[in-house]
Amino acid sequence: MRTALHKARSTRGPACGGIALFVFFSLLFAPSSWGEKLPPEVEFCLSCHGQEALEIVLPSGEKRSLYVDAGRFGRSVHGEKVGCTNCHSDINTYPHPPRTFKNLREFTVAYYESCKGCHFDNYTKTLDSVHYTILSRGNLKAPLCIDCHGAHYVARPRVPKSSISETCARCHKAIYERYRQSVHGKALSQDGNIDVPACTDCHRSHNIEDPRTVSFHLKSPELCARCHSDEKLMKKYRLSTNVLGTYLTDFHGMTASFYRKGQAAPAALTAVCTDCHGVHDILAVKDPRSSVMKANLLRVCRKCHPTATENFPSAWLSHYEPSSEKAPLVYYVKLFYKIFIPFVIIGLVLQILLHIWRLVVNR
Amino acid sequence: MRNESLDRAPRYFLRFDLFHRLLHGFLMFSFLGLAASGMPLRFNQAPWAAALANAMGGFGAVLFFHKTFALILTLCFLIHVGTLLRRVFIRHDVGVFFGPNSLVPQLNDFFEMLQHFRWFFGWGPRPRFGCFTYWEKFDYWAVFWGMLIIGTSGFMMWFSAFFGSFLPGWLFNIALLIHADEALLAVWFIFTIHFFNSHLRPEKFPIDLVIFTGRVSERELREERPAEYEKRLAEKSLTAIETDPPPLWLKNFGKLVGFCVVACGFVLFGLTLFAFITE
Repeated sequence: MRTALHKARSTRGPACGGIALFVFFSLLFAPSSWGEKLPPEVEFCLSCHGQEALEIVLPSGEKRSLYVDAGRFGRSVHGEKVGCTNCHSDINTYPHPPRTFKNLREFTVAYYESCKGCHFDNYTKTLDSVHYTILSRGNLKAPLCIDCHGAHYVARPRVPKSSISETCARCHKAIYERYRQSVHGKALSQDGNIDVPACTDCHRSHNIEDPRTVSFHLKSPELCARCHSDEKLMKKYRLSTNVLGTYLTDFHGMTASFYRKGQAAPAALTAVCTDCHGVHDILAVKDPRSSVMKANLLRVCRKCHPTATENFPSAWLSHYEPSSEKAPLVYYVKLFYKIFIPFVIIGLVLQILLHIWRLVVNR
Repeated sequence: MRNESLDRAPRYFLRFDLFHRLLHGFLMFSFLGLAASGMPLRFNQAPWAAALANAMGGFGAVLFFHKTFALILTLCFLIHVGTLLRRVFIRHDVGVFFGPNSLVPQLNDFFEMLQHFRWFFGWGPRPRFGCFTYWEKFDYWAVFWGMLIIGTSGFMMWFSAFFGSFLPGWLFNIALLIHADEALLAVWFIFTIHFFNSHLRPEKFPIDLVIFTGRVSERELREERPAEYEKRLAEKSLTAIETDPPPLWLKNFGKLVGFCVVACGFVLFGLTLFAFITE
């Protein structure tokens, strides 16, 4: 990537002369009523860049508008605090030093590191993200700060919460469509319910991990549990907070926690929440289309247990703790052993103690 | 003992032949392996569980070892049952079920147990035990029953797709419970009660080598199993089981293996007890 930028800087493009000429004329006719609150430096730049028609044509044939809406910039989070040269630190004179970009993306990438001056913590987080990984491999399509946040009109993130998922949807369209139909997505996009997770609640925003890895798969129950073991939140929707506990004591959960604590990569994986409930298309468990609905359960089991029969899913206790009402047999067998084991062992230990006592007395 | 050896070399009698010693060896070895690979799964939330599993090479390795040891133990069980069936059906030896050399509890065992308890409280003399005491029979049947039920439930889960084709699904939950808890009982029983009764009780402390050497001295036989000793004396069948003294290497081998297994057993007992109480 460094070489691409270097190239872009050292080549002169035919567009530069045209811009300079245009800027000169537009300065003459600049209206004086723009953004009264804006710092004088910004006012100065806007005398050209406030012209809606201001644009350049890049060698690739793509047009790039150089217009900045003063009003919208003023209302953005940066409006009153940040001047143009805070980000465009390479342009502090007029006429501007010549800069040449082959195409639009190169133009954007050139300003990629502008944000880190102030937002260093989030910038470093992005270095751990899957987006940065593909960027560092030379894929310039990977999203940069401004692709999600915007450049001149940066709004407060999470306002409204649905804007997060819509932002991700710009690239991840198919997943977003599935998410929008899910119990979480529907609540967010239709009812504006902010209790439900948007993309970044599970995937995080800056240090987005590759969700296709084994380690992500194995720790995903923790993601779900952040909300699904929250008593207060789950009470609101009459959902059980037992789901994680029952999962962890179940064979699948036990296997997952062992694999997580082990150093060796597992040969065979175990089911986590999303393997049965779905990932982006999670439906309410009462929804007849839900994959975990009894009628659909066998199909889900067969994803991993291809030879599973009709009897197979009935082993599953649906996240219920065995009790005298739910799974009474399991409950009573468990109870039996809880009493029987100590009873037998303590009884036999007492016999041992009697034995020793007798030998001591006889001595 | 010393006086006796001054007079004449002590006589030794064979209690367990090589076949039974080997069978017990494989049983012991596979039981320890099953316990070490199974208990981290039974107490998977305990802090030591993952460490122990990792020490064995991770979760996949734990499963592999557990199944391998399970096969060895199953083989031991089948061989044992096979020899019993041969004794009953081919040799028509009803001594398997009745008589002083049978492991099946007899009425006499019940009286011996009562008498043993009377002795504990100082109300009577010590019972004069025969070839197998009542606690040894209990020990035998605990292991027999344990292998049957733990083995069956284990194979049910191992081949769940096959068993699921004709068994109801809920039975698998019961199988898992029974497998895990019956195994816990077996582990605790062997690592405390069996260890004490066979090795650690003051008469035998620290170890009874008979299961490794197969031989008991005349004094041991006379003092511990007077009923058997006198019966054989009367029948003049003592010479039939007389054998050479245990070789030194065998005694050392027995001590080495025995102490290692007892140590491993105690560690596992401590870990599982701690996990059970804090569960």
